[in-house]
Amino acid sequence: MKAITKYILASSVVAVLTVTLFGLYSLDQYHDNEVRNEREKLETCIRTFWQLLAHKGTDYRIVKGELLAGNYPVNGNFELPDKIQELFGGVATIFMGDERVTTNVLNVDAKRALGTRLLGPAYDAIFNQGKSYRGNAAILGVTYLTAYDPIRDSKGKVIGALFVGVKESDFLARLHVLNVHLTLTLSSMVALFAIFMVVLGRAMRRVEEKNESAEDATKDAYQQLLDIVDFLPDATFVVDKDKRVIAWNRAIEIMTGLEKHEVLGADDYAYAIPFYGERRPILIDLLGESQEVISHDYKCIKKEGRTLFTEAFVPSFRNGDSRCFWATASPLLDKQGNMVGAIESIRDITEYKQAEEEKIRLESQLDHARLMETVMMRLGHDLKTPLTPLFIMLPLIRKRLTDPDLLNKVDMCIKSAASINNLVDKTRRLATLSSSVKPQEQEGVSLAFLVDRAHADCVEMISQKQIDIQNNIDPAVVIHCVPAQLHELFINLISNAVHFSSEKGVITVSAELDAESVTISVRDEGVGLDPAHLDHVFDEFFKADDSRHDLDALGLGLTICRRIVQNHYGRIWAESAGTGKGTTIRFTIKIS
Amino acid sequence: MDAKVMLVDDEEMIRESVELFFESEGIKILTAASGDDCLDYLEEGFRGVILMDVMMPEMNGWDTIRKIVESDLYEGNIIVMLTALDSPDNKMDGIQEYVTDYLTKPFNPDELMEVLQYYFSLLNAVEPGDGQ
Repeated sequence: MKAITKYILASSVVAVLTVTLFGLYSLDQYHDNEVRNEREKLETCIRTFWQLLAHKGTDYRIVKGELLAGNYPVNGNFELPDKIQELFGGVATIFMGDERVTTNVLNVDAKRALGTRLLGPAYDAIFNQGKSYRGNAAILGVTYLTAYDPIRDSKGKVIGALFVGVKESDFLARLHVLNVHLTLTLSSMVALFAIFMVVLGRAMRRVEEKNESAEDATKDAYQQLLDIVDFLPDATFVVDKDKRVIAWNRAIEIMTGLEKHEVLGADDYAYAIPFYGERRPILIDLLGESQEVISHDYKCIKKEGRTLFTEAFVPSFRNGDSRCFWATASPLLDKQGNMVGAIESIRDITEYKQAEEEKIRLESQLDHARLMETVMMRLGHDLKTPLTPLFIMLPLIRKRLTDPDLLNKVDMCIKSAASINNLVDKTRRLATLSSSVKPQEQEGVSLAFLVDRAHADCVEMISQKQIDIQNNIDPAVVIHCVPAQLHELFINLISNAVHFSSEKGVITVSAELDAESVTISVRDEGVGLDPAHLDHVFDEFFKADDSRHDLDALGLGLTICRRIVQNHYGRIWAESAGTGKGTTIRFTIKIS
Repeated sequence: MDAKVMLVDDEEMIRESVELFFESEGIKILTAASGDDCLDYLEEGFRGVILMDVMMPEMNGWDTIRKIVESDLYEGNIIVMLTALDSPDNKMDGIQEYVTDYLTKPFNPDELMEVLQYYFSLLNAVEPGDGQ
């Protein structure tokens, strides 16, 4: 006998034994399980019986030879046993003393088995020991899986018993059917196993003989592998041990424009041509080379196990574009660990690289902006100190002067110092406003109320010019914002409008609502704006007239306005029909 | 000690200009170039309105106030801080109660006089020798 056949025979025997033992074990488990289930059902059954009885009355007593539950007569009353049969299909009896006084058990004459007595271990348990009884019991010659509970009167004396039962023969019959099923299942499993073994044995013989069909299977598997490579999302190619291209997938066809039929089977570094325009070693050729050779060819290369990773810059790819590629190459090994080929995947990461560089550039800009913010804050602070003596001394000097010409000059100095101070304040303000507002800083405020507050704060300059300010905003409109910033925004807009209005002019503040935001406009009838200036009024230090040195109107107010609106993710712009025709500043802000 | 007002500031220009102003108004003033000088004057018996700069080298305004309080020299004084900041900073934690008012730099003579005269009147109201 051949070794393989012996092996199969032995395996079969072991398998059959295992399956049989497992089957028997399962059957045993199943039997126990069934008994447990039956017992549980029995308990449910007797519990229900008790509940039904308790529903009639819980005071059990014997009056004039009759068992009563409360005032419910039990003797000869079949309502409850029949209910149990209806619910569970089992038998049920109530004993007064040891005598059956109501039952659904029928005797051989198909009449209810009343008047008969309780006997055996159940009797002993109930009446001698006062305990419940569970187990098998013979009732009128039939064996039952039974449950007996004692009925006690108010003094605790046993005056009867409650009984439910299922015929054990039902249960056994079910077990028998189960047995047949299991035997059938076991037999078929053994048979299937035997067939499987035979098939396996034949297959093994084929392997031993290395017949042709096995080679076919290998070829199929190989073709499947090539198909998988073909559909890989990354540009991928595979070479055999002589560096001949054996797979060139769709993604690499698209990347290089070089089709399969042009490159499959080619050797002598043909795969390098689309990338470098010449035949030369690339990443895949460095597999198995020493570290020095690898580091010499690529500046940035990583090795994990036998796999290589690199990023390569290709200065003139296809249309002469420079591209950046990420590539990985792995050897293909046979079972003995010999290298039989290699695979390389290439990904164009040019856009990703550009995004990365852009990110670094933006981060450094942000750093610089932060630095400038700190510098502005510090500078603003330090300018205040030398301004203080000017603020104190200039008025003192002015008091001593009588010459109108000198008075005029000192006034210019005082005004100039005030302008510097104003400019310092605005600059510092702009620097502190340089970051977007955080949700936790925001609260809901009535827009109309914000306008009224700003109006009140500007009341001095408004009344000087006798300007009429009309607030047309519905007080019910609530916006989500940093109130202090919006307050400052309205002060700037209103004071700006006042500044550019003529005496007794009208300034109108209104709001238009749409689904998500509100557009607020502040309109004056003042000097208006040249259309060429509309886009520039929010620029830092913008002045409509370069030749004017109007120190009061140093252009940071609208820049601060733009900053505040942007901090709230809104937009601000200016509209004007032209010089002399008034100006409207509009901005959007999200409603809460 | 005659003077009822003391300026504590490390900037000489500010000390001189404020001094000049008060002299022109006929008000006597002490000037201290540091927190230590201020404490010396208090030890010598100065009581009145102290105009205290916040940003000073070595010992800043807040630290000076802490020293004044710890040395039991606060009684009988009113402290007005001179600050270039728009908002109070966190270094003043725990000593705000000893600061009665703030003046933002640069301040003009009118503001200075207004503040001083108000606090002078407060000090006079509690002057022990006043009999009230």
